[in-house]
Amino acid sequence: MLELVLNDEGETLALAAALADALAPGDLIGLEGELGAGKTTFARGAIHALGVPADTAITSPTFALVHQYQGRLPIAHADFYRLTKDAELEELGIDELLEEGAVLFVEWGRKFPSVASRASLWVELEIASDQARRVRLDPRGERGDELIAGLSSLV
Amino acid sequence: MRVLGIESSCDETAAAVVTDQGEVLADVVASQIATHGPYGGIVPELASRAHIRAIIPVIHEALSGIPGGLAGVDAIAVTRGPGLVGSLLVGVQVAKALAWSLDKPLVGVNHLDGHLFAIYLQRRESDEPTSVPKMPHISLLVSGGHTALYRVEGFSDVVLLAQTRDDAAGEAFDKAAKLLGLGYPGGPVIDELAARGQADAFSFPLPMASRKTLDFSFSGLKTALARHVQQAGVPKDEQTLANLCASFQGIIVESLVRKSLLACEREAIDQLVITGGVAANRGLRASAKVACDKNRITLFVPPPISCTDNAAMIAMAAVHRLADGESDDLSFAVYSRDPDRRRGKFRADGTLVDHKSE
Repeated sequence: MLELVLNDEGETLALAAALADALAPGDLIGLEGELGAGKTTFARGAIHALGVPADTAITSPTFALVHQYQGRLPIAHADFYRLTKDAELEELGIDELLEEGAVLFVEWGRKFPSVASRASLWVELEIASDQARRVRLDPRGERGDELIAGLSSLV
Repeated sequence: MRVLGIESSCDETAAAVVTDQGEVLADVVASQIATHGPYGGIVPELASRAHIRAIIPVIHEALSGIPGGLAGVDAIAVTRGPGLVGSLLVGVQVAKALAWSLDKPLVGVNHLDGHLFAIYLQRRESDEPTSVPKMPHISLLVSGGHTALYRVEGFSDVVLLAQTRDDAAGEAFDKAAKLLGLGYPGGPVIDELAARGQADAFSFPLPMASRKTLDFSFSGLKTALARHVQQAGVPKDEQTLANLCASFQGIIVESLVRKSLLACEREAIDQLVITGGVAANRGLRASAKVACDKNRITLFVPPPISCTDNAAMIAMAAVHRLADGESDDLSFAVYSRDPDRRRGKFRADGTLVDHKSE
């Protein structure tokens, strides 16, 4: 477990970029936090750091459910805000994406067992002030511990 | 020429028949026939399974009034992206099977082109023909999933000028409604409350206020509202709630209208189209009308039935390619994300036409 205060959007993007450098095929990062906490901002920082060009807009996937990108790895950015049933997730092909070696960023995924069982790391964001965010990085399994160990040496 | 359009990119399953003049002969959307049609029980669901259940009944319904039915159709158009791959495949596979078995030309359409060309649809139920813009014109596409400005040069020549850097405007409405406990979808309910409120009662920062960029951003506005609710709570009395909705909607509308006018000014074009689901917003329509009149810009807004997701617009977007004798090979693939047209001009099939220098 790692807890930090991110003073502004720049620090959120920098932490996301540091995490992105350590990501490998099949990693699923869960992004949690209330509306406006900065989940999509965090995903944007990580996706650009994974090599998606800076002029490619990383927009909210709430409506489309899944946006796919190609960086140094295939990337999927998913948002299950609108979903209610775990069965709907299966049709979105989460397993196939992970098997194909993609890195997944999933917003609003905690309530779904098929996301929770695959997550290596939960990034929990909370609004501290207009600009600042509190973040809790909660690792799951050995892979999560590896990611946290890598980040701890940086921050 | 009659074109059968098929749409299954997101929540809606839809089929329509449109002539090469843009006349809408049939226009069926699964969620709209659920309540009164013989196919009760079809409700929009976020699953390709729902599209599979709905697609054949919806196509049947669309063809029911066409002389000769399927045989009376000359070509087929289908949405190939952007959208959910599993959902897109339902429409595309049905369209390919129909085209192959009937030996009719098939065209794959970008869903966003459908929205851009929906203004050219002529609907029988309206008393007077919809007035249509000439090319080139500026188009603001504003919906739950997209917010972008285009320079529309022709039916196969669309240039993306700017888009949202984070949330779509429709998404901002939906999430604001959620924060205020107003239910889903958020646009209509906020629009209604806003009409009774004072837009200057609460102060929200205007996003991307600089005239240097045409891009939109609505995530910060959503966060500002979330912070407001976190600190002050949801307003208890109706007038304060209406004021809050008016102030929030007012900023979204101001941002959309300002950037649209700036796009017209920069591109030296005096015709603006506003299309997509949020184009039904009364506050947006009213503000855009006033601003366009003041700046001598002619405003075009399709009727609400053409603004929300439908298949008539998909057929419309294919008409010109079909009229030129073009069609797609049956092997074409679907795509989940819009090809980035900011870097140049793309054809309907996503291939680059020509590079536009910055």
